[in-house]
Amino acid sequence: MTKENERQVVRHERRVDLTPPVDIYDEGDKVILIADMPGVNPEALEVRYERGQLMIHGRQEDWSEYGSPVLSEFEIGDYRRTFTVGEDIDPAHITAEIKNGVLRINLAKVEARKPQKIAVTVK
Amino acid sequence: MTRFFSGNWNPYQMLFRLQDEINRVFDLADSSRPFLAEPGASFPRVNVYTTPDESVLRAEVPGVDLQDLDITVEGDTLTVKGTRKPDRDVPPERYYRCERGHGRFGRSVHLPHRVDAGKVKATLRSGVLEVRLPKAPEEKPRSITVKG
Repeated sequence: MTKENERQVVRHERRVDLTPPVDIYDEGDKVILIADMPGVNPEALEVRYERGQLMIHGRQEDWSEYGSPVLSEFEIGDYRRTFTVGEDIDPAHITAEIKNGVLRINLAKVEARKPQKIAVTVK
Repeated sequence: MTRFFSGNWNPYQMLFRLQDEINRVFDLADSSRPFLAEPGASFPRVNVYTTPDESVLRAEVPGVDLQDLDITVEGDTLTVKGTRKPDRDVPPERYYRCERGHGRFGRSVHLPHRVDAGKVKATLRSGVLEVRLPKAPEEKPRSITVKG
């Protein structure tokens, strides 16, 4: 490989807005949100909660591209999505981690909304 | 929604449509169904670039571990196969939303040249697979000295 075409960084002129596909499910005492965000490193991820809205934003890494395209099925951009969070979620106990391009958010329920066994006295 | 109130409005059709939608949601939530392998589902999505020396493939494989990927090169064809495991065994009724797929997948890509299979390198980072595919020696451009 010659010096000229060796890992020459080409900044993408156009970054697109991407909507990550998500799974959301209930685990009893918490709700789990999983989003596919390939190309997003932990430092390029922002998860924010504000007035009942959970906002996720992940900036895909700009990677070097060179040569001529043979196949082009995806573009580089920013993943964004906002969710409305119900009153049963405790905003103080939201945690997030990203691994292998998959974001995982744990939304703990407020204590009073967790499923509880209630002893019923039959008279 | 205006289409429901045009010309031949049929309330049953609306119900059937609703039923279809509900079925679709439950089908998607069925964790035993490997819908990544469904026809038409293009997973993973790939980009390929080529230079005089090599081609580089990038594929979006979020949540796939390196040991669950199988990369093979034959002549001018690269095949990426793998499995994306479900997050957990979650019963369908616990899902509020189910948009991600899992299961087995496979893609073959024809490259514009034969590959030096012994020198292929693959790396996985943040859910993006990068495969560098050097051209076979006989495919590389060479300058020919013209004798005068």
